[in-house]
Amino acid sequence: MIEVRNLTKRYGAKTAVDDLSFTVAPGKVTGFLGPNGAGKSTTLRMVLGLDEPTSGRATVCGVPYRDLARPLTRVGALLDTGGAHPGRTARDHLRVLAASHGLPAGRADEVLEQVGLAGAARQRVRGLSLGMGRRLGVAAALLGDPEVLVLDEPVNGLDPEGVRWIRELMRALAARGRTVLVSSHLMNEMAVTADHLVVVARGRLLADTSVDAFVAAHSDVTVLARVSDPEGMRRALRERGIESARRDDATLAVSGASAEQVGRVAGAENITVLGLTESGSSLEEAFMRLTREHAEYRASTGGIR
Amino acid sequence: MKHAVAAEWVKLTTLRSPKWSFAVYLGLMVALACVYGTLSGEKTLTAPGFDPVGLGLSAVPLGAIVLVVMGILAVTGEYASGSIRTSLLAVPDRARFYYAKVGLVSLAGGVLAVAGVVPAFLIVQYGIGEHAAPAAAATVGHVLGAVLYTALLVAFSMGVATLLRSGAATLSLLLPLFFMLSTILSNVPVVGEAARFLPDVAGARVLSGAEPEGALGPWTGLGVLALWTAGAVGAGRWATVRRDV
Repeated sequence: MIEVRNLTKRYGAKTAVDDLSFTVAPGKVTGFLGPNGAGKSTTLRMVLGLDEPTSGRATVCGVPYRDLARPLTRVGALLDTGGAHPGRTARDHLRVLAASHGLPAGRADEVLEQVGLAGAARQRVRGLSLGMGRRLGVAAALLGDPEVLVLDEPVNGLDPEGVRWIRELMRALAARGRTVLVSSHLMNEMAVTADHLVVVARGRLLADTSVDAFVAAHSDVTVLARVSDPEGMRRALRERGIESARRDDATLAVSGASAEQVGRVAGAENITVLGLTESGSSLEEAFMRLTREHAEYRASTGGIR
Repeated sequence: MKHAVAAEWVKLTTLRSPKWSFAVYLGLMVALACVYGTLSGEKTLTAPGFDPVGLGLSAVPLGAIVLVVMGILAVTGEYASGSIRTSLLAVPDRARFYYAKVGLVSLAGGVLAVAGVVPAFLIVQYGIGEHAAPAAAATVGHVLGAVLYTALLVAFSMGVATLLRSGAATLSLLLPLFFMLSTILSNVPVVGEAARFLPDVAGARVLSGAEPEGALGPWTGLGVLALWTAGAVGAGRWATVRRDV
């Protein structure tokens, strides 16, 4: 359980995090979503006691992080900056952390095994690839077998295999009742990973909602359905409160429903579906639209200058 | 606190550079002792006011620089690599983290100083034979003082390093101070009086067996260094607790 209440962080005149409040519940993956510069990392650093809030507070397991007695057994964190000394071996990095909690050095070997790094245990951190470094970070987060996990942009720069690994790991941890908070600037990644979304831009909260609700509210999808009986299909859809329009002889443009819903309606009415296509703006576009007016750094659309 | 110190111990012993520092320090102390012990001519040894204690401890300031660099890097290496964040996630009580690090590394500096200063002193005394310092309590006091001087200088530098957070900045501030500035200032009239109270100059009083000239005796000098150290360590604590990382 993570609770953020009226959290604010100012650097001089610049407000990085602005009166942010949200709660992260156990048993699911919560995506912390926002464009670059939205204040995600700053918020996570305050949650983890690394940065002091200007006002407001953040608690983990009911207390501020700095008050946790054996923090690594309660909270595991993966920071975007790596956080391991390049001159130390992967195993020694974990041994330092184990020693700080009186955990046996064998625990380091266990988590290295768990993240698939046992073979690189004696390699120095500077020699690890990006993907291996990320795995080492995850190993450090899992070292104390914590109930809360905070991961800052864990899939950034990873290859598809690494992305899938992180995704499955987060799902598995949430399924075991852990609290998982993961930040990302990629909506599509969160749509397949997270159950719940906290969306921020310019340090402000834009949405705190389930992924399903977010998708329903913000995706603007039209389903093109080619069916054997277009008029009968229109009636059937209207009875269910779904609007549609004729495109041509056999095609209906259906809005406000997913392809799956349309298919099910057709099945229930014994209408043969000849083709189904979803078109319109993607979730990523919906997310960008939502954050555009708040986004601090807009991507230049003028090409290369 | 026990676990925080244990973590610092693992940190110190799992990097290459501290091990190199240990080796260089011990090698340097013994090598310089051999030079001073064998190459000091009869003229030096029989000169009026010859100070066998001072000769036996003359390698101490140079050797201390090696351990000072080790202490500075133990602090700034964490900031440079970003591992400070991981360290503070593990030990979020900032003061505890800081005292564990400064305490353990300074203590390691002190232990190494025993291993370096004592043999170096004995080698020099053996080398100069009949001119050697008397086996008296005062002599032992100076050797002990040399060990304390080294450990205090390491702690002082770690405090400054924590305040500056940069190895380059700390080294470019402290090395000229320790190597030259203090010596130069000490020789300028008027300013020289004040320069006696600089941390390394005051602390180095204990390295001399000669009668103290001026205000500071060996132990008051060491006391002045201890005050500087307390100030620097206190400032470092403030920076560690108050600043974001």
